[in-house]
Amino acid sequence: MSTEKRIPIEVRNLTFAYERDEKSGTETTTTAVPPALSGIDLTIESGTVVVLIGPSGSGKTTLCKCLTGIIPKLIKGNLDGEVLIFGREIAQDSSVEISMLSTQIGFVMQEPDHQIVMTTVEDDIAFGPENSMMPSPEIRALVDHLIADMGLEAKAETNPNNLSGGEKQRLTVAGVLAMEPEIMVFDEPVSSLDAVGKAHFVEIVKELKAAGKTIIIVEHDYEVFDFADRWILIKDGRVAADAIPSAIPKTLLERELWR
Amino acid sequence: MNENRAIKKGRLRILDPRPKLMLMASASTACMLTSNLWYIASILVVLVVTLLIGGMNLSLLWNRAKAIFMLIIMLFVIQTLFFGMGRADAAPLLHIGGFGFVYTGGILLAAMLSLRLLVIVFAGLILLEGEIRDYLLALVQMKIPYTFAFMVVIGLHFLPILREEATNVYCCMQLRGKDFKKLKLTGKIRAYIGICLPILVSALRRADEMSIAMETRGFRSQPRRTYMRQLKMRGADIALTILFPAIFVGLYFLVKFL
Repeated sequence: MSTEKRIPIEVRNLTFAYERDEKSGTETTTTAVPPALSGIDLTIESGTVVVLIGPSGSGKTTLCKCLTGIIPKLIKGNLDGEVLIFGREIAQDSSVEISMLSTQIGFVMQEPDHQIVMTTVEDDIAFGPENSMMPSPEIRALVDHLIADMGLEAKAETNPNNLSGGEKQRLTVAGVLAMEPEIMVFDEPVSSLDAVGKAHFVEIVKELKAAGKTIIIVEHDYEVFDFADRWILIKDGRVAADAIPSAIPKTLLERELWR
Repeated sequence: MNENRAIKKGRLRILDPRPKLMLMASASTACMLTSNLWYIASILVVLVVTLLIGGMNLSLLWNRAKAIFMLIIMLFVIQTLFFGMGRADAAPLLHIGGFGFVYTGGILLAAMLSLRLLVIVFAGLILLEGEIRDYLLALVQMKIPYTFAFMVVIGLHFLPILREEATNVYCCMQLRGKDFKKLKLTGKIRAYIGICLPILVSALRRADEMSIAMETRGFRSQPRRTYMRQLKMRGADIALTILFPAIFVGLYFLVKFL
């Protein structure tokens, strides 16, 4: 086994533009729209918490989808540059499949309802490990552990449709954590949570950081994550600022977010 | 809440899903293979008796399938009234204004089709007496490819979500001044299209994101998958799995030779 410390995420000169289908008469032509990401260069070290900040439509979620391989594997478009996850290029290498990345990088999307697959809380958490062919007793132990960690003991056999917004959020986090990924990407995780839910989520992130996970969070409410190692401001698909939270002027962030 | 309690009391609920799936499959298949009225009626009786023994609450059953029962009654009336019109060999039982309505053949055909539909509805109601998660395991343990089993289960999982979204859109339209009660038929149709379109768009978006979420959690990364839970068939479950199709075969010969 190599003793060299692997870098979880490296992005090199990444440019991406979505494709749009245009119909004229009976013919459909595919045209590229202006790039959502332009020349992004980024290196994220192991065990760090990085918050991506930026106005709506600035390319934060697109960047997350590139990091998780969803772009260009499932969402097509014009992509240039490289995305390396633990040293392996995933964007240009067609042999890499999303499902293969699931134990390296986990993605919690914006809408919890859109990623809850199963009909009970415990089954939904077990969904990932079952896909990875984990033996049944190990899945049971892992699921019980995560249910306790997320404070969902009383809801283990509840239908996720009957959970509150905060509980659904915790369930989706548990579902991704069950894959035991090294990197976790959260897209606007606290946007629909109340103060208690936000505080609970912050605790989860701190615990994950303590466990050595690399965490990327997309969030407008960036001040909740003032303990992060880096705040990165994305503007018009480019990195406009990248520094420790105290080094980025609040006025700059407010101006960019409220312009 | 009360409804859930009523369901949990049922004996069908504690039954393994496989005898229920077998009952549904064998009853639906048997009623489609023959047009013998007595045979289809006897299948229906078996299903109703099973539901009653299984502890299904009759009022609950009526509430769940009321709309379908009304539809079946309507189909029966239309078939009875109009089937056979214009046929020279058929003698109408009712004459109104020089036109003949209600033919013996029409009544028999309407009865047969209605009974068939009822059999299918009652067979489906039996499946309501169980958990979706158990049906998934049952299908997989019956060697159905897991991708197909998931398709069925996710479809069932989404039905209540779609219903909730429909209710939300309906409420939103009412809050913005649309009074459904005052609308004429064409207006109502237009309004319901207005409800269906956002649900369709939302369902497509949801399906798209769901497929991405499933792939990011390793779905289809392996040719097989393991399961946290396993279903175990008891003696009664095995007996019923064999008994249900045997009853329908037996009834077929009984009706044939009587």
